[in-house]
Amino acid sequence: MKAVTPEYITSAPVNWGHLLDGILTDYESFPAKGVAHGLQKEAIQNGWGARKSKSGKGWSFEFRLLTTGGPRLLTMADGGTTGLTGDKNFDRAALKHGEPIPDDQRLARFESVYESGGGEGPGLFGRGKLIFNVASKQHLIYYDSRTETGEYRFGERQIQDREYRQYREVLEGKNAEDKLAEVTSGRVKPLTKTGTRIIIVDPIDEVVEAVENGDFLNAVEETWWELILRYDATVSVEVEPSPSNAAAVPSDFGGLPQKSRDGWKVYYRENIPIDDGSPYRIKHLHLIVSPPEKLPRADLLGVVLHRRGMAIGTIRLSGVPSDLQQRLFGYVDLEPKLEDALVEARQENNTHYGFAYTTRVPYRQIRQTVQANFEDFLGRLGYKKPGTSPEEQVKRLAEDAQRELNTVLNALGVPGFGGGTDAAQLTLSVENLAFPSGTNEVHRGDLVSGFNFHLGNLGRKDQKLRWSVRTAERDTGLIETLFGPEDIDVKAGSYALTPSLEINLDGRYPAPGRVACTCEVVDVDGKLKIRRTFHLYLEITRPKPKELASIQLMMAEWPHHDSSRVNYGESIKNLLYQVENRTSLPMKVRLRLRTLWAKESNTPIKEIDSRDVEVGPFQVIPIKVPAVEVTEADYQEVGRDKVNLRMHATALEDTPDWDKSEKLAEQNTAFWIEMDPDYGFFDAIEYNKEGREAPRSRAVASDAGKRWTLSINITHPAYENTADDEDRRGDYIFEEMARQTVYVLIAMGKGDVLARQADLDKDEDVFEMTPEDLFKRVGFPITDHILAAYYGR
Amino acid sequence: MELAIITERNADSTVRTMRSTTQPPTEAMAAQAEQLDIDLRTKMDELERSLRKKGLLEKANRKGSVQLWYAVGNALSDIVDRYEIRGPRYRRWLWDALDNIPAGEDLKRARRGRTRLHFEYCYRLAQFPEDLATRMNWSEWVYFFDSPTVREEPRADAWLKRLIESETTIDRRAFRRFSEILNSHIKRRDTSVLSEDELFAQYQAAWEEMKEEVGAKP
Repeated sequence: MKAVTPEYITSAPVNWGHLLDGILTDYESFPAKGVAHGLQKEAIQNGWGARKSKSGKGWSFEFRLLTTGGPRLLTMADGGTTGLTGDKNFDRAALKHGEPIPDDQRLARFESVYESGGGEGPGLFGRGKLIFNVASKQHLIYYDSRTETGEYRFGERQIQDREYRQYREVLEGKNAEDKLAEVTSGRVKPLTKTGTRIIIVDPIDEVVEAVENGDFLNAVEETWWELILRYDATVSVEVEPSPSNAAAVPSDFGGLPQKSRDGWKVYYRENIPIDDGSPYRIKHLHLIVSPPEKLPRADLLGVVLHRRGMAIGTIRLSGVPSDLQQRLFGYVDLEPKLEDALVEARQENNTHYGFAYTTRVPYRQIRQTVQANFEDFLGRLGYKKPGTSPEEQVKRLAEDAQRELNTVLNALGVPGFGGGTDAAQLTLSVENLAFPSGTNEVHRGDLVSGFNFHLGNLGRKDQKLRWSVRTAERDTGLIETLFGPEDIDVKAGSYALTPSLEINLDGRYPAPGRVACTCEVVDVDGKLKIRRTFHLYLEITRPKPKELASIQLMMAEWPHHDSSRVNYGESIKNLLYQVENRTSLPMKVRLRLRTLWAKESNTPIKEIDSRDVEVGPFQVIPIKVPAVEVTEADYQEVGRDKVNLRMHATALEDTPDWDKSEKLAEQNTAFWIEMDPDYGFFDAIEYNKEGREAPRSRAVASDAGKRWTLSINITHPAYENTADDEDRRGDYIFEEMARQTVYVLIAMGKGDVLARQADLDKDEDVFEMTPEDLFKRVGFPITDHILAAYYGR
Repeated sequence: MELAIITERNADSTVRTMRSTTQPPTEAMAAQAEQLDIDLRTKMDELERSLRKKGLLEKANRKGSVQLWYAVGNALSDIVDRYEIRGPRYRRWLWDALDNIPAGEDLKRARRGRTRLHFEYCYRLAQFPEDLATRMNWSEWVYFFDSPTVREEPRADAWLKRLIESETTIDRRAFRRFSEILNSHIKRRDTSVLSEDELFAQYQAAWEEMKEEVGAKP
């Protein structure tokens, strides 16, 4: 029997909406810098690629935001270009298999997806032009063009869900002019000179804000300053009715000096081979360190690889001294052959931000060459060459990895630890506790009475809870219930007290024995919210407490959401500390809150607060500090740097357990003045030699789980296996950090952060998951996410 | 207190960095900073010349001597008093300025961070009577001032003054050992909560412990 011949379609239905969502995500994800930033990059890239003169003579680009007379319009027009040339009804079907649309058919290329504009620009993929639709709330753009042969053309593209609407043929001549007047209500006039213009209808808020507040112009300058400098290119941004602003080489660059002068330190080299005998060369390598008081803005820092005049991404450098991190910038230009090799190796990511497959050539050779020259520069500046001894190497690589992790996590929106956004909402303390003999060493027949537990709700929501107080001994188990269980509704900002309680140490209590008195607070589902315990040593000697007191920062209002950045003139407000006496003795302490300059051996900067307090046995007391103000007068020497906010408790009396003037507890919270990046996930990195069978790394908690140190086992075979390759070792350390980051987030109870990073549904609770799901749906994906951001840079 | 100090200038002599107690500094403060800058250069030039005349700088080029650094501290003390530069933070601005002016080059020493400041040590030394200050070598003084536990405790110098007055000789090794013991005693302490008597008792206990230890050695 003869089989039927089915009818074929030549193009599958496409869910264009999903494609646009994917593009949006790409531009919003690290290392890209958002839609507004990407929009200017793609638009100018297209325009530059279509320039008539290779030298860029007569080329220009103009952004205009029209805000009156109808919906907002953002027009993006190039001049000195060829315009959208070619047949308006070019027959794509006539192309042979694998044949691209010819370069001179610019209109046809523009109207196709995944077909770049061709020409001389840095465009590669032909995918970026869809960002124009992404940037419109209605996903609608118009485009018009005056070609070099004098034709005037007009087209429209709207992408929604499964519909990709575009004219079958662009309009021309009078029809084109009339349509432009109709759809823009006459607000946009036809182009009179050769060039092409994209009109984004009703641009998204992010784009409008960036254009209006100057971020857009900054992004143009950051990305395209090389075109402006070398080709005298004109790019302008205008918000009607204000006059237009021309993009310039950022003044932060100090005129890009080629020799050291006036406090600017410069390293400039040309034609550097990337390897012995390699045909490929770096065309220009220009490294600059600004004077300490002329710090470039943060987005201009680092050594950036440029391709065809466009900033692509920062090259990772190892061993940057801390005092240069806010002052070092520069760029790397490649010879055209090397640019092509980088593109062919697919090492530039598809949004043109950062790099992929960085362990392969030629990117790897480029990075190593830049690193070697940077080290030469460091030597000339009087810095020690980054260490090469095993200890120094590990330290340096760990610092680099830590910096990378901070950058990646910051970009992924994982909050730093200092922000206080997830601070505990409940506090629990025992009050009015006094022991018959002055300490918690007690005897049969003693009565410990008159104490209560105090439950505070620091959060903004009322909490329905259930609480109880019990005594127990390890072997005997539960001895008696002193209070509850009782339901309680604790209003936001309020507190509750148990009745006065007593423990009668009669025959029910085993002697000798250690009796625990525990107050437990659970939510309506019976899930433990908070617990506090004190111990009685019945007929036995109490041990000397290992930790006498603790201080925790419970809450603080930071001036920047999810960042520990504080600018001059800003304050950290409404700080709430919790000071806990972990002993059975009353504790009189002086609490001092000071700011210290971290880099300069914690030199004191300012005394913020000093007060004397008495904390009862096992009591927890709140300490409120209205504000830590950061003024230029107080912190001028610090510049952009890390400051430690330290509270410490000093004993004011001698007792059997401590001496007067002894520091009983200390808490540090770092913040950064006038800078963002170094927000610090792990406080420190240390190394252990626990042997081949021990874990590769461990995250070690301190300060009641608030701060974390990463400990790397340098005797593990996996670590030793990286000995011959510094890059691999750096990557290994980073991978361990990434793995431990997920563990730390789980241990800290950062369920919302985990859920967001693992892309869980809103009603899913990470801490209700099965262990299998926790690994599969949270642990692995987040680690992969972090590693993708790292290796994809 | 209104104070401004020019801590660095550009090659064309314009001000690169001016530290000031209020930001931005007033015109009067800026004018006073210019005057201080002139005085500082003059003073350092004069000081260098006079120390060279006395032959003290030759010693400095070898090892340094307590007489030399006492004289430097004395000169700096005059400036601190005249311009009412009160407190270690503002003195640090002055030391930064000294590091950056093209005068007194032979009196400068390599920086060892913002807490171990050569000129601050000279200044502290000059707060002692000369006959007491010169009874210990410069290296012992540096060892003492380097100690983090006394760096933030201004009363430490007063106790040391008493000690030097009461002891006929202070052996170099014994003094170093004392500094070590003192550091280990007060490492985890905030001595600002102690009265002067309590603080001095701590120092004295460390001194006695050192004496016992040294005395116990054959």
